Amino acid sequence: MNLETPAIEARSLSRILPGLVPAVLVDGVDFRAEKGELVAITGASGSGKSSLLYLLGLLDEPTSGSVIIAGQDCAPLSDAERTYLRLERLGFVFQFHFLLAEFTVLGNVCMPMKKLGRLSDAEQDAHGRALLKELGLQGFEKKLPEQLSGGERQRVAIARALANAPGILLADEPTGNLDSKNSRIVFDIFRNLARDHGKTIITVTHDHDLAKTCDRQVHLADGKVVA
Amino acid sequence: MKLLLHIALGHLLARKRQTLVSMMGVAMGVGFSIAMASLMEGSQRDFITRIVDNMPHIVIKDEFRANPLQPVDLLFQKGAVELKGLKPKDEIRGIKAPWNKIEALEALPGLKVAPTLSSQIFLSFGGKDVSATLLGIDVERERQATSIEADIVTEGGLDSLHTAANGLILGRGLAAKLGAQPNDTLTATSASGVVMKMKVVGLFHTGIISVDSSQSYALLKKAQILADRPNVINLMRIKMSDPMAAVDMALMLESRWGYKSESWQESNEGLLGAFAIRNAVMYITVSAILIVASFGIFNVVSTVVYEKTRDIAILRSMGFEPSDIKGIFLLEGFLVGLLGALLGWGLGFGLCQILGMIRFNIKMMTEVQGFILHSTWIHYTLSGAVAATSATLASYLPARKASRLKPVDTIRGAA
Ligand SMILES: Nc1ncnc2c1ncn2[C@@H]1O[C@H](COP(=O)(O)OP(=O)(O)OP(=O)(O)O)[C@@H](O)[C@H]1O
Ligand SMILES: [Mg+2]
Repeated sequence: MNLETPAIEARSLSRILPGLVPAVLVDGVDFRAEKGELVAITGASGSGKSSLLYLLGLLDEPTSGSVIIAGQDCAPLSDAERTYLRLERLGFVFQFHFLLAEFTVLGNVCMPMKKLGRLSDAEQDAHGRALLKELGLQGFEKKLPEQLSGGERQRVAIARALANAPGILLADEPTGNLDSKNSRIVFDIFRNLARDHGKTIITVTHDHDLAKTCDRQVHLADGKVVA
Repeated sequence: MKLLLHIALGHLLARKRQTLVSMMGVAMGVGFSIAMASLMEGSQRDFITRIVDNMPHIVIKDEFRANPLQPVDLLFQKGAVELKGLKPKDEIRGIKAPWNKIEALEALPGLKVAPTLSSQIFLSFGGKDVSATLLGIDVERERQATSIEADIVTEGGLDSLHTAANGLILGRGLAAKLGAQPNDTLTATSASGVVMKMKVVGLFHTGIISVDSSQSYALLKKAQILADRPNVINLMRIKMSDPMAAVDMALMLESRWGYKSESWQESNEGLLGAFAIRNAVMYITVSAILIVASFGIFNVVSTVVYEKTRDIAILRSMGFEPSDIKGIFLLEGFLVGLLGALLGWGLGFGLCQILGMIRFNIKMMTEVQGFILHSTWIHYTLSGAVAATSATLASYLPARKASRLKPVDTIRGAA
């Protein structure tokens, strides 16, 4: 039993979509992830992996239960406070890269920093370049997303997710659109981020081999944690 | 705000053609409205200038607007009193103590007064009898307070009235009706039966048919003799250096002396009312153009919102507020409106230049005629402000829709 405060925790988290036949997306999930831990969430299609991740990332509100980030219960927070937590403490990577087509690679990476507004323009620029360099994207700064390969785009998306130095990175099938080589690169990055930078990384994946490389696997079925 | 502007500009620059087309829509609205307003304002000012230059600014008549109150009315001011069979007493017509009043008026700065006795006479010549209005005038004052001197087409101007014992200046139409020429001697008969031989010493032509075919001028003294009303004046025509102050001045004079004092604005109420209606029609037309332009903006911003659903989702999950998202799209509408308005200013200015160069060659007119244009900064500011505002309003609905999008809904669907 780990006595340290977990980086992120879910307590009997449920998400039920109301309707004639209510859909249970997430069903009483208890979950915790420590600082510096890389956790894989696995499960069959439709088992509720994405739904759980959205709840953990404060993108969706649970029907019951709560998400606790760095010891803070997020249930009583207002929308604005949740939004600010996302900006400051959470990073997202999805299967689709979601890069803004009108902005350069560097522009995309700097977007969260601009919103947070803690760094000067020059500092943002330098930090963005450093992140890109770390992810092996040196020289891509001025390119547009459309000029990049799928793997490169996904790495830019990771760089953007890391822009405000969040403690927690949430990834939903980040390698879903990538070949095995690029998938391995992404997971290498994750492992490195967790081990060397103390990031807590929770990633949904269908790939069992990649899941095995993680510190821990959480298996979902019908919205419940089964292992 | 800078960040939102940054993103909004990014969206607009990424679809330059669409943005340009909707900007042109706004520019058309603004440009045409400026040109139209300039035309309207120009012709209106020209018209008013003509009125103001050619008509007395205030006319004081020996009339009263209301019948004098009877003692019973004074006693029961709030009572339901109806008086029947009242026989008004015969009052001597004419403005009482006119010269005191003229002196008082002339003491006011910027005022010129032309005292007149206006009466109906019959003119007979060569067996023809024609009724006419005779204005008995004071030559020097008439010259200063009115523009009739400029309309006299014969030699000598108003001073020619002094060249004969009973000089008479006729409107050209009136002379034609009588078949009279300068130097002919006519017989004038007044309503009071006085008959006087009068010599035609001049002709005038104002261009207003009703005036030219019925009006004539004589010296005040002669007119008073003819009308058998010595020392009486029944009309004072006033010219002001500031014609716009005529309404207030007329009110003041009327309340002081009681005589009906009519400002040029009051005499031309119908015309000025017509201008107001014309302006309203113009503003409605221009609004319609801008509404059409707004649909264009609504369309662009809606399209951008639709196309950018994914961007909105990632920005929201990244930590942008719904209000930020709304701001981005409102800004896009505003920018299209603002830039469109700037383009429109250029277009409007250009249109005005072109319209100003157009000349009509109408043979009837002696001068070469063109459009009279008058642009003021108000036209530019107003059209620009309306364009920017309506553009922002047009983007409001799509912007609100964008701000309400749930990121999860989009992210779930994207792969
Ligand atoms: N809006 C919705 N209405 C009804 N059911 C929904 C809705 N959204 C999701 N679901 C259902 O909720 C369940 C969980 O969905 P979720 O996307 O979390 O699964 P997943 O594990 O991420 O699947 P996949 O591996 O295919 O991405 C699925 O059965 C899905 O059909
Ligand atoms: Mg999923």
